[in-house]
Amino acid sequence: MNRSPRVFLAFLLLMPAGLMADPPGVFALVGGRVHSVSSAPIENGTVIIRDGLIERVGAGIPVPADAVIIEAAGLNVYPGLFDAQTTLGLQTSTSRGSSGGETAPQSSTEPSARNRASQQLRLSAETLDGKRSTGVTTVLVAPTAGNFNGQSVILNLGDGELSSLILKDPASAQISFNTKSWGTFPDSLMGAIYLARQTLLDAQWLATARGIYERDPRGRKRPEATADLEALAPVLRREIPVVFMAHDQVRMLRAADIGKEFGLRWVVSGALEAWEVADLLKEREATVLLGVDFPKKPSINEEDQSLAQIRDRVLSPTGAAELARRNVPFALVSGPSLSSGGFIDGIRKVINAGLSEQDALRAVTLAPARIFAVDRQIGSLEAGKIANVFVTEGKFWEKDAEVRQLFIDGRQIRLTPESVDEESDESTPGEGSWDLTIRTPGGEISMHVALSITSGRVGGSFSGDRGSGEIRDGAIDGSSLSFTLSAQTAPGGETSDWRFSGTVEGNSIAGEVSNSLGTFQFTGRKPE
Amino acid sequence: MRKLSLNQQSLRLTAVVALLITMALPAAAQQKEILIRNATVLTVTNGVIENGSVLIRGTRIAAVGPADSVRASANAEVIDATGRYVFPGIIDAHSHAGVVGSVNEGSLPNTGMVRIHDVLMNEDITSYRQLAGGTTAANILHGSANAIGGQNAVVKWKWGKPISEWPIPTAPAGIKFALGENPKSSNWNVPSGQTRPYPNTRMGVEEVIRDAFVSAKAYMASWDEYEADRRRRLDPIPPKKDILMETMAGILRGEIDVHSHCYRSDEIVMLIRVAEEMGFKVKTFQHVLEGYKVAPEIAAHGAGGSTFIDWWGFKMEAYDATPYNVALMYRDGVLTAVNSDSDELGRRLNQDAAKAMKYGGLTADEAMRLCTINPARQLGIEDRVGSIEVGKDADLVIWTAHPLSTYARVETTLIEGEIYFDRQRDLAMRESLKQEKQRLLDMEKAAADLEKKTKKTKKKEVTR
Amino acid sequence: MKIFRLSIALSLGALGLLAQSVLPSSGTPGTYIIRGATIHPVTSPVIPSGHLVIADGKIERLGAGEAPAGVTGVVIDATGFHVYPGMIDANTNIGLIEINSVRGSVDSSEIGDFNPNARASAALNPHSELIPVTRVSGVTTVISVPEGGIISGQGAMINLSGWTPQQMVLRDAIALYVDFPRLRSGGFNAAELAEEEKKAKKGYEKQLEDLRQRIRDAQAFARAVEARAPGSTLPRLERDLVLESMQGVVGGRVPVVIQADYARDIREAVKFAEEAGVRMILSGGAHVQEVIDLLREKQIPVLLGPILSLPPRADDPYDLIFTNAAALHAAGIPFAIQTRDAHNARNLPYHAAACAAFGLPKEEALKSITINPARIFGVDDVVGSLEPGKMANLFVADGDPLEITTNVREVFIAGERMPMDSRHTLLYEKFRARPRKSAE
Repeated sequence: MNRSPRVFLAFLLLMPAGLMADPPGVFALVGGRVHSVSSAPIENGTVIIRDGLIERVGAGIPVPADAVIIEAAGLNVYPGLFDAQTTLGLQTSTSRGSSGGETAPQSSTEPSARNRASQQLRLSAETLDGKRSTGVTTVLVAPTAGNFNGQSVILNLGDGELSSLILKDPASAQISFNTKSWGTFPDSLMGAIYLARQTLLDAQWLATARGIYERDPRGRKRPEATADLEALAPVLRREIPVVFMAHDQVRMLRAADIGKEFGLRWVVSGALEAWEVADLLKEREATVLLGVDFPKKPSINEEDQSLAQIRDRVLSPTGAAELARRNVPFALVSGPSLSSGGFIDGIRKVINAGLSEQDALRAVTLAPARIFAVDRQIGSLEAGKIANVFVTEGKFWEKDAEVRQLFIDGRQIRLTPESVDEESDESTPGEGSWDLTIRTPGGEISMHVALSITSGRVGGSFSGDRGSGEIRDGAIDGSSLSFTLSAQTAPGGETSDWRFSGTVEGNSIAGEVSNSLGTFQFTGRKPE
Repeated sequence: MRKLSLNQQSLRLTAVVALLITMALPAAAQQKEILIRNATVLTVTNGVIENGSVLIRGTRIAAVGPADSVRASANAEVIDATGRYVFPGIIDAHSHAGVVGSVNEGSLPNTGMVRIHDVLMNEDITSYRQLAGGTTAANILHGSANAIGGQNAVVKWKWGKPISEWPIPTAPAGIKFALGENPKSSNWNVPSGQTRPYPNTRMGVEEVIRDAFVSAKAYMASWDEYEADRRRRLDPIPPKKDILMETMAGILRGEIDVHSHCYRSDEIVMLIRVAEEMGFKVKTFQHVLEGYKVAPEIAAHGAGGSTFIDWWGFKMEAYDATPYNVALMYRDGVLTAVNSDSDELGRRLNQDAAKAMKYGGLTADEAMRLCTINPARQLGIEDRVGSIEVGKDADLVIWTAHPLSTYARVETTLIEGEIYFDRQRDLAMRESLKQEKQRLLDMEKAAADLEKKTKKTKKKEVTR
Repeated sequence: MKIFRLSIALSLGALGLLAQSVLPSSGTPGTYIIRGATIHPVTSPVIPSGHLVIADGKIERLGAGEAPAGVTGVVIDATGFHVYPGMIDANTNIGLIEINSVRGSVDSSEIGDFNPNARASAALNPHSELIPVTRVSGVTTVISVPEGGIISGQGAMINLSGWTPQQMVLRDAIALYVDFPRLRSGGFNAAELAEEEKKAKKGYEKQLEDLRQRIRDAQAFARAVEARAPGSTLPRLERDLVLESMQGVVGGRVPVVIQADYARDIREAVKFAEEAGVRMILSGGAHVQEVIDLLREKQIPVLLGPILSLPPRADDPYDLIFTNAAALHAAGIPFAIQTRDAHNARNLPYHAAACAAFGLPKEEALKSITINPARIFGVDDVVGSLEPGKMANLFVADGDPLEITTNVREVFIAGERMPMDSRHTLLYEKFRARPRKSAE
C-alpha cells in the first residue's frame, strides 16, 4: 500500500514552481477550528502569528491591521506535528543483523556515543518537503546503528541553514540492542545488553575518578577518558534522556532495568509490543515513543504464521490506546525506516484501533515536546510558542486530508507541485520495482531495481549478481527515464558507473545502458 | 462479511485484547486447598504410596499419605486420580528454551558477563510443551560456543505468567563453562576473510579458563587495595567495575555455580584440576558423555553429572558415548541426572530416566531420581522441588500410567498448586484458538478493505 | 544338545570381546528351537506358550506347545519370554553415517539437487558401529536412505548383519527418495519481506519445474529405449546413468518416497506424483491429518516419523505428531513408523509407543514397525511377521518391546544368532572393569 500525500496534489498545483519561503511576517488564520492541544478546540478561532511566534490564539480576537489574513473557515488549524524518532537526512541503508533478524539502518559513519546527528545530517529539498507536506514541522533525528548510536537533534523543518533550525542538540542519547555478525561482539542480544551496562558503568567511573583526581591530582594517574564516555556524562547527570530502541517486551524491560540501575531519564522507542504489556510499562513508569511502522502481512506462507505473530501484527496498533488508558506518557513516531506518508497512515491506524483523535493529536505534538523538554517552545498553539502551524481540509490524519497552509518558525512554507512526494501515484511512469535484463556479448545480466520518484527526481536501490546499492542522478521527463548506479562490470570484478536511459511504457521499459565496457541494450518488466 | 465501522473495529480490537489476556492466564487457584486423591503417589524420596493422596494448600504440599490419612477441608477442590500416578514435576538441568536472540554470545572465548536472565521471555510455546510432558522447571543455559559462557537462569515453566515470575528466586546463581569441540570451534567454518578464533585446541580452552581466574584474582586484589586505601583515608580512585571480572570473582567466592559442558574424560579431569588449583568447585558436568571413564574422579570432586542418556556419534567427542554412562556414574557415587538440551527431549525426560534401567540396570526408584530430586540437587533447589514431600512446592504431575512407561501420558501439570497444563482443557481450547486466529485475520482484512475504499473515493475526486 | 537359559546368556562372552569389534554376524545359520515363549506373529493371534523353529535362515515352523519330536537343534528355553518379528525402520542412514560431524565418515548426501543414481547400497559400511548398536535392540532390518537435495537417491533395505554390503542387502533400490520442494519466506521488514517472498516463489517454482523435468526426461528415455526394440533401425542410444536409474520409477515398478510435512506441500506432492504417473509413498507427514481424505482417496501409504519430534508450527497441538498414527489407522490408510535417525534407530519401538499413548491400539503400534513397512515396500513375503517360510528375523524379549524397560535377550537375523554386544556394551564392560583405588 502506498501512503504518500498524493492527495495534496490538487491544492499544490496552484502554487508557483520552485521552493519558496517568505520571511516571517504577520499572519492571521481566521475562522478555522483551532486545535490548540493545550486546551479544548476552538470553533471559529483565530491564530495570530507574528515574527516567528504565536502572538495570540482564541475566538473573536481582533486581527492586527498589519496581518495577512488567511481565511480558514471550514478548515482545521493544528500545531505543527513533531515526529520524535526519525532518521531523516541521515545516510542510511538497511542491512540485516546476524542473530534474531534485527535490522537497523546502518550509518555511513561508525556508530559511537560521541556521534551527533546534527553533524551528519544532510536534508535534501525532497526529504524536507516530503516530510513537512504532511504537517510535520519538527523532527527528532537520531542515528540508530550500532549500540551506542550517538546523539539526536531536534530541528524545525524550515528552510535555511541547519543551525538556525535546531531546537535542541543534543536532544537525547540513543542506545540500541543491535547485534553484529557471528563472531563480532556483541553477536547476541544478551551481549548487547551487557555492553550498554558496562559502558554506562565505565562512564560512571570516569565521572567519579575525575572528581577524585580533580580534588588532588598529585601522585595520581590521570583517569583515562574517551570521547564516547565523555558524551555519556550528560546522560548520567540526567541533562538529556536516553532513548532505547526497544520494539519488544524483553528489550523494553531491559531498558527499564538499565534506566533504573543508572538513574537515567529513559525512554523506550519502537514498543511494538506495547499492546501486550501496557500494564508492565505503567508499572515500570515508562515513557514511550510508539513506532507506527506496524508489521506487514506476508503474502505467502500465511498459514505458517502463529497466532502469536498474528496478534502482534493485527493488535500492535491498539498499543497506543492501551497506553493512553493507563496514562503512560507516549508519543507516536515514525521510527527508523518509515516513509513520510507512512507516518500519517500509522496515526490513522492507531486511531482506528481505538485511540481518541484528541490523544492522537497530543501524541504527535505536545506529548513528544514534553518528553524532550521542548514543550515551552512547541507542541501546542499557545501565545509565545514557536509558530509551527498547519491548516488542513479534513482532519490531518485522514486519508483524503489536504494541507492548505504550513508555517514553520512563522514562515509561510509554500509547497510546490515538484515537492509532492508522488510515490503513491500508481500512474507515475517508472515508479516501483523493475526486473531488468541487460544484453551484453558475454550474456544476459539480471538486475532488480526499485525506483522511487519524487519531484521528477529518481532515487531508489538496485540489487543483482553485480552488487547492490543506491540509485542516483535519476530523472524522469514524461516517459523518458534515466538513472545511474555503481555495479561490477564482471562478477566479482571492478565497479563502474552504469548509466541507464530508457523509455517507459506501462509495465515495460527499454533503452540503453553504458558502463566502462561499452553500451548495451536493456529491457525491463515490472514483476508480477 | 459484515461490514464494520471504524469504531466497531476498535471496540472489537479491545475486546480481543481483553479476551487474549484472560486466555493467556491459567486459571488461578480459586480454592486454597486441592486434594489429589486415590492415586499411586511416587514420592521419589519416600517410596511409593498406593492409593495415596496429596493435599495442596496454597502453593505448597500440605500432606502426603495413604488416601484415608489425608484430610482436606470441606471446600477443597478434589481431583480424583484413581488409576493415575502422581509424580513430582520433572526438572531439566539443561535447556535453552525461552531465550530471545542467540543463546550464545559467541564472539569471545570468555563471555561470563552476559546473562540469560536478561533475555528470557515467556512467549516460547516450547515452555507449554514442556509442561505437557510433565516438566515444570529447567536450568536455562547459555550455549557452549566459548570456554566460559554466560550466566544461567533456573526457572519454572510458568506459561502465561509474566516472565518476572519464572525464575526460582532461591536458586543459586550459575554459569556455563564449555570444554572440547565447541569452544575450540571444531565444527563450524570460519567465514571467509576471518581468522579462526582462539582457542583451537583443548590446551587453549584450559588456558582461557586459567587466565580468567588469574585475572579475577588480580581484580579482587585491586579492590582489596582500594578498600585498604580508603580505610586509610587516602581518597583513592576506585578500580573500574568490570562485570566480567565480578562474575569470575563470584565463582571464586562460591557465589556462582559452574555448570560445565563437556564430553571427553580428559577435559573433565582438566577442569577438575583447574578448579582445584584456582579454588572453586564444579557444581555439575553437563552432557559428560565420557563421565563413566572418570566417574571416581568426578565423585571425589563432588560434582554432579547431567547427561543425555543415549545420544551418541553426532560428533567425534560423542563417539565413545554409551547409554550405560548413567548407571556407571550413579554407581560410582556421582550425583547423576538426565537432561535434555533439546526442546523435544525436554518433554519426556521420564523416558530417558527409564533407559537407565534398561542400560545398566538401575532400579525404578533410582531411575525416577534422575529427572527429579537429582537435578534439583544439582541446581540447589532441592529444598523446594524434586520430590513429593510436605512443605515443598506443589509442582506435581498427574500421569495416566507409571511415568517410566512409554505409554504414560500427562493429564495435569501443576506448579505451586496452580494448573498450568491440563489435557482436557487443552483439547477444549483448540477450537477457540483457531477461531481467534480467523477473527484476527478477518479484522485485518476489514481494516485493509476500508483503507482501499477511502483511496478509491479520493481518486474520483481528483479526476472530477 | 545345548540349552541356554536366557538370563545367563546375556553376559556370556562380553569380557572376551573387550576392546574388539563385534562380529558382523556369526556366519552360522544353524537350527534353533525357541521353546516356552509367548509368540507374537503379528499377522496372526498371539501364541501364549509356543515354539518356533529356525532352520536354513528361515522360520521353519511355529506353534503352540513344544516342537514336534525329531526336530533337532540348539534349544533356547524362552519360558516367560516373548518372541517378535524383527523390527523394521523404514528410514535411517545406517551404514552411510558414522560420526555426523566428521565429514570423512559421512556418505549420506551427494552434491547437487538431483541424484537419482546415488544408491545407498554402493556406500554401506557393514562394519559401522551403528549396526550392532541398533540390532541388539531388536531392530533387524532398516532402509538406508540417501538424503539432501531434491532427488536424494535410492534407498536399500538391509539386514543389520553381514560381512559385505551384498550380504546385508535385502532389496536394493527399493525406492527413490524425494525431498519435496517447499515454499519458504522470511524477511523482517516490509521491503525485505517483499524481496524475500519474490525470491522464494521464484526458487520454489524453479525447483518444482526441475523436478518435473527430470521425470519427463526419464519418460522420454524410456520411450527411446522402447523404440529400440529388436529390429529397430534407429541410431544407437547413448547410455545415461541418471536417466537409467529412474526407469524403475517411471515404469511404476519402484515407488517414490516423497518427504513432505505441510498440508500444502503434501497436496502438491500428490499432484506431482499423479501427473508424473509415479507410485508415491508419503514420508514425514506432520500435518497429515489435514489431508486424510486426499490420501484415502488416492490410497497413498504414509511413513510417519520421527514421532519423537516437535510439531512444526507453534500453533499445532502439542500432541499433533503423536496422534497422526491413530488418525491414519481410523481412516484405513496404510502407514508405518520410521525414525529418520541413524544412531538412535534403536529407539524405533518408542516412536511407536508414543502413538500408542495417544490413541493407536498397541497391536497396531507393533504392526507399524514390523509388517506394515514390509507391506508398503512389498517385502511382506520375506520379513515383517513370524510365519513359516519367512526369513528368520526375530528377537526374544522379556516383555513388551515398546516399553523402554523391556530388555531384548536374543536377536536372529536371517536365521543367524546375533552377538548381543555392541560398542556400547563393550565400553560398559571395559569401564566396569576399571580398577578403583583400593581406598575407595
